[in-house]
Order: sequence, then structure tokens, then C-alpha cells
Amino acid sequence: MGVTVLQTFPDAFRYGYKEVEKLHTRIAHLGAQPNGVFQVDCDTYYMNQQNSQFNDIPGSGSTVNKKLHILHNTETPASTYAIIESPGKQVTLCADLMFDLLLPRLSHMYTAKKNLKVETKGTRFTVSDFIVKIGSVSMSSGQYKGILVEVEYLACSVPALCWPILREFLQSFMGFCVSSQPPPYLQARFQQVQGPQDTMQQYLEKFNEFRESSAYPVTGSLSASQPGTTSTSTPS
Amino acid sequence: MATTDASTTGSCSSMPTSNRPDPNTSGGAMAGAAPTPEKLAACLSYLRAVRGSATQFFALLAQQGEGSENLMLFDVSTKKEEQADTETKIKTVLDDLMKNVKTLQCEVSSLSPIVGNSTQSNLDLLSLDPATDKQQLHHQLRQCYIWMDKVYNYSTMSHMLIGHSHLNRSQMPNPLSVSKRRRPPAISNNVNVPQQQVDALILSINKQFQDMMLTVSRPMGSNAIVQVTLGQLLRGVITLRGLLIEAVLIRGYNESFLDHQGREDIFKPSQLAVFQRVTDNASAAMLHFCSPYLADLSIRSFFTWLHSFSNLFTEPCTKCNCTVSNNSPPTWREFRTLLPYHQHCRP
Ligand SMILES: [Zn+2]
Repeated sequence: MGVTVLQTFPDAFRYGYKEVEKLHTRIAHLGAQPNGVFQVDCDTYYMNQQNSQFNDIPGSGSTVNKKLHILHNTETPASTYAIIESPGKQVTLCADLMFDLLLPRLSHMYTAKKNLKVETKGTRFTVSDFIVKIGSVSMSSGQYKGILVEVEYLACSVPALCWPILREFLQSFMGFCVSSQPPPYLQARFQQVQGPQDTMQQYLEKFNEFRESSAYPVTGSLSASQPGTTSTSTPS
Repeated sequence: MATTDASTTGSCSSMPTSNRPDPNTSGGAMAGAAPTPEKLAACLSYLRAVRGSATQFFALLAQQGEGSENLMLFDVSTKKEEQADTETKIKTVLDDLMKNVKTLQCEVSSLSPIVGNSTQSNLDLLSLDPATDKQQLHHQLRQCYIWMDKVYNYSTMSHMLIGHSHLNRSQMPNPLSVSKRRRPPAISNNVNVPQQQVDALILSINKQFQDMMLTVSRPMGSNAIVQVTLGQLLRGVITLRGLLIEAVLIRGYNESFLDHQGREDIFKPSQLAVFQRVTDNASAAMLHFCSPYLADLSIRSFFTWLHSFSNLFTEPCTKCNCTVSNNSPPTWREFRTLLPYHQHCRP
């Protein structure tokens, strides 16, 4: 397991497939070989109101909005990741795929929000010791949200030891949308050995960003360009 | 050879008639005055006498067994008579045997160990091989040894001459090397080194670098295997033969370094392209730094060089100023300056 970086590729005009194709040709110029497909999906459950009331005795009461995210990654097909998200804190559980069967039994605690399901799908490439996954993010309704690129460097598992090479590699096919500073998630764990859970937490972070962007009107090109413009402005 | 044959045949013919004292006395007289070959021949004849009487004794025992089986069917009194008769027979034969053994013992103890043995090497023994197709071997081997000596002498001379020149590329710009270069080439045999010396050297290198950990193990006898862990970056397995590095293998930090039996895996190459390339370069460095006369220095230089990989993924190439080129970090380190270069950017 190497270090994984997730990068949103700006798609201001929502070309979608065209932009993905562009990335495919660029990465092919680097000598990348397509190597199957991949998919990462995320289901979100909200804690039931009455339960959260008697669960949160010590603190702030029922206003606490606890969420349970269930994620799957085709890279680790036998695992289910459950991430409990409460303000300021995340607990990650890496379980067998059988964990999914346990979820209906928790229905009295958590209720699923069907329209919040989000997934990214695309092609997986290998280039030397890099694994590149270019995926397009969409909601369960089929609504296209953007492009998410995952790059994993297999030769190193500590971000501090390999960020320069990762950054340069990302910039070599995505250009200046890649910040020269490591993403905040990696920065917080710069000296730690990365594992599969770290990849999933980064995906959750990005998925949450994409979901929040849906608060804007969907068809408006101006609002859709909002995340793209912010990410391009960061390096300068 | 001829005398031995004659005496043996003589003793053999004398054995069935149980005329033991005759060869004994004649042999003893011969051995007293005779030079070594005759003495040896006499000893052999005594040995034969011992064997002869032993055979006789066993034959008698066997005969007696057969006879008694037959007699069981007949008379008891005749059986007893027969038994007494055979007992006396056995006793005389046994006495004979004991006497022979004693004389043989005396004779053998009087034989002094062969004096010429120490000067005879294996090479000389090879020349005594009577097989005609192997007679050439002695000559060839001798020539081989002569040439080995010549090569050794020439290399000693050339090493002394080259050691004075400053163009010696294989030495590190190390303050230690100046003092060590003046030292006469005392250690010429780097293959048979005491284990303590190897351990001490590795330990001192281990202390020299904080972020590089070296552990010595000996899973295959006296030759050491050094395991290197450089930070959280890479692991290496270095096979030593005495004080010479024999093989180098570099793998990633998170790749397993044990084989399925739980021992150090010294053969399985890395799965990652970067470390395969580093392994190739490390093997080249091993050959570059190899200097049979300053083996400890060559090991030291090699590890200094290997330590320079601590910035493998972070330091840009000296020539093109990029970290990644051809999807690979700068995997080559200059031998003297330790500057990083890409494989294709090498000066
Ligand atoms: Zn270069």
C-alpha cells in the first residue's frame, strides 16, 4: 500500500466525458496502460432523531448530527468501510463485506438517505509504480458531479518521503490545478504510514465536497464552476 | 611390491597347516634389520596370519555346530566325548589367534609414523595416480598454481603503484581513506575473516548513520547477511563473503523481506520498478567500490553510497532539475559526489 492522493479535476463547463477522454490521452502519453475499471461508492445513513437524543447524554443533545457512511472500493473488494462522522471526529471501521448484511438490523438506529448515494467510476491505469484512476463522480440519480483523479504511488507509504514526486507526477498530466502544497488530509498525517482506510477517508472528504456543491442550482454553469475556480486559484 | 607379494603368498600357504611360529620368527628377524618397506611387508604378513587363524577359529565353531545337530539324534555319551575334543581344539586355535594378535600389535607399535608424509601435498599425491588419463592433471594443476602466483605478484605490484596515483576513482573522498591508503596491503585474504571482524565493521557502520539500520545474520553458515533498513524508504539484503560483498538486493519498505519459511529472502527481486532499478545500480556500485586490499573501506564506501538514497523520492535530479522523469525518480547516485541523477541523465 502506497501513498494515495485524490485530486478534483476542474470541469467548469461540465463537459464530463470529453474531459475524461482528455485525461486518458494525456496519461497515455506518459506510457500508462489501461488496467481494468474501478468503482468507489458511498452510502450515507443518518442517526435517527430519538436515538441520538438518549445517546448524547453528556453533550450538546439532539442537535448533534451523526452520520454513518458505508463505502466500498473495488481495489479492496472483500472489505466494507464504515465511517462514523460526528462534528470534529471520524471513526473508521474496516470490516468484511458481510457487514452490509448487518446494516438492515441497525435500521432502528440509522436511516438511509437514498438520494445521497454517490459513486465514482472509471478506468484504472498503471504507469511504472503509479496507479492512476480517473473517475467521473455521479449521484445515485445519475446526476454528473465532476471528475476525481486518484493517484497511488506504490513504492512509498509515508507522504513526507514522496510528496515531491507525487506532486510532479500529478502536475505532469493535470497541470496547475494541482496545488504545490499537499492536500490537508495528507498534511495532517505527513509522517504516518498510509493504509487503505486513509484512501477511503479521502474519498469521503471529496464526496462530501461534491454533495455540498449540489446545494447550488444544478444547471447554472456559473455555480458549477465554483469548485473548479477555487482549486485553480490556490497554486497562484 | 614384489617382496610383499612373496611374503603374503608364503604366509597364506603356511596358514592351513597351522604352522604359525615359522612366519612369525622369520618376519621378526626381517623387520629388525630391514628398512621400512620390508617392515611393512612383514606387518602385512602378520595381519594375514591373524586373519587366517580367525577364519580357522570361526570355521571350527561352525563345524562344531553342525556336528552337534547331527549328534542329537544319536548317542549322548559320544556327544560328550566329541564336545570335549572340540573344546580343546577350539582352545588351541584361540590361543594361536591371541598369540598372532599380540605379535601384530608389537610389530605395529614399533612402526614409526611415515616421515615423508608432511612434505607430500595433495598435488604430489595426484602425480602418483597410476591412471594414464589422469597423469596430465598433475602437470596442468602445477602450471595453474604457478600462474596464480604470478597473477598475485603482479596484482600486488600494480596495487602498490596505482595506490600512489590520485586518479584512483574507486576511492571515496573520505578522510579515513588517506591514512588507510598508506597502510601496506596486509589483508590479502578477505574470504576467510573471523566473524567478529565482520560484526565489528557492520556495527561501526551502523553507528555512523542514524537513519540506517544494519542487522547481521548468518542463516547459511559462516558468511554474513546484512539487512539494511533505510528510514521508511527501502530495505536491502547484502550477502557478504568474508569481507567482500557478493550480492545486493534492494526492495521497498513495505515489501516483505522474508520468504515462505520465515527466513531472509535473498533472491526474490522487488515488485516495484524503482527498486529493481536501484538494485541494478547498487550491484554496479558494489563492483565499483570493490577493492580486495581495502575490503573494509569498500564496504564502508558502499554503505555511504547506499545511504544517499534517503532522499530518493524527494530530491530532484541534478541535471534536469525534475523529480520524476520517465515515471521514475532519480535512481542513480554519482559514486563520488552522491548527487542524484535519473538513469538517462547520468553525466
Ligand atoms: Zn534527470
